[in-house]
Amino acid sequence: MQLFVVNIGEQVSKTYDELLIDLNQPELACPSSMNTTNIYEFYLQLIVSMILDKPFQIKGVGTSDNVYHNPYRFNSIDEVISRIKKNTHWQLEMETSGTTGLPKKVTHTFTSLTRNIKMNERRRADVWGLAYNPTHMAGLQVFFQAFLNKNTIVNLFGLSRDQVYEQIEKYNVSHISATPTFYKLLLPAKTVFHKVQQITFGGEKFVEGLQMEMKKIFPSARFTNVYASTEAGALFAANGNIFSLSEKNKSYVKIVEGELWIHKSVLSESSDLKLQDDWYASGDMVEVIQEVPLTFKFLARKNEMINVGGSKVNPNEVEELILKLNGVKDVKVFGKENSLMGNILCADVVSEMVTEKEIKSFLKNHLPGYMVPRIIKFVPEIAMTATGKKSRV
Amino acid sequence: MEKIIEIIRRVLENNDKTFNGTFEAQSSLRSDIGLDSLDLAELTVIIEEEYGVDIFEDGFVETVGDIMAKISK
Repeated sequence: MQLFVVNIGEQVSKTYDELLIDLNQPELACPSSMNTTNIYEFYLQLIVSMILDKPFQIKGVGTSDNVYHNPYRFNSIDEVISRIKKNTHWQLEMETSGTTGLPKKVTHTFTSLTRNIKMNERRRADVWGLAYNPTHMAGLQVFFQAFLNKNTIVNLFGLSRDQVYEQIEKYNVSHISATPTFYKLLLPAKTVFHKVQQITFGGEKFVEGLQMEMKKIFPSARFTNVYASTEAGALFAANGNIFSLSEKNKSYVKIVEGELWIHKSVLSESSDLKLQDDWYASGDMVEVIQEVPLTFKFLARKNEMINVGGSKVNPNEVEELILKLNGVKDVKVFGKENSLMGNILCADVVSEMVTEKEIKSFLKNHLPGYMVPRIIKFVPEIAMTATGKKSRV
Repeated sequence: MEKIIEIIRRVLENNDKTFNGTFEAQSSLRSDIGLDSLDLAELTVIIEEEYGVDIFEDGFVETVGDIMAKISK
């Protein structure tokens, strides 16, 4: 009995056989937009919309509940998948997470969503740990990767640290894709997982040093860092924070004044994105290391930069330094509006060992004054946004 | 005024600065006490937390007495 989805949070566990039964009902409920928060129900609605080739929206829980006669009788999940691949009208409308700035509406097709999905027999035994919100881009990438290979999806999103450890162990999770913030939750290491083969980082700036810590927990895993966005889906991957582009990928991007621009040919068919001569400004600031082949690393989100008295501060840079101090478990650097300086730099620090003074004098030796947080607070933990990213407010 | 002086001392200490003179109402925050813009910004945040008043919201604050006037409004 191959499991399809397990979510201890909702006490849901469904096998592919059970999914097949639900897909063979004489009538299928196919709302035009998701109307559930239950992970299995959501996947079911998504798959049904693809089978019936009807557009689907991901947004606040909708109310419409259209029921259609089911013209199909599937003998296997493989038949379901081949049906889905033939669809022509299906598209998925969703909004960007808007971590910084207003959410934008984007529309994807099956092709744009599965551009980077790999399907083959070798992947049949993969077990995916889902550490993203299932309705967001990164979570959908995990869904398609797992479902199209008939893999089990084990939900890890929104669970406590102990539950995450327990679920990885219990279901022999082999692949995890998550934000650096999620991986930090696993520290300090509690167990070593030899069966995990792949660890993917994405969604936020890569944190130097975190990969080393993760190697202790997942000694057999391959590590990949993915650049993906709701606008473009997964675009390119790297080992670490340095991205080197192939000739094919190179034509999709250009760098203008330190900002990464993406060509419209790899974007979703969207109405809300502002294009300039077929290019979209991603808002991701990068540093070019080498021109040929184009090699760069990510520095920050453009609107993450904090203006302190006219000087721009990259909060990631300050966070990285503070994390180097012994006993600092996590940190968030953010700007607080200030009538005198525009913004004043603040830091929330998770640590029982260092003092405010130690942090400040350490930073003063490494950074100009305006980059040293003036207000430092010690907190038990750093809150995350719905997408599992650090919320900078 | 003691409370305000205590806060100013805290900001000085936080930033490894010392002021050996006497705090008076007419003491200039910048030229006498030696606070720079970033120190003053830090000072405003602490005072706002304590008193709910943004001392730099309208106009400029030059002396210890100016702060007193803002928070007593």
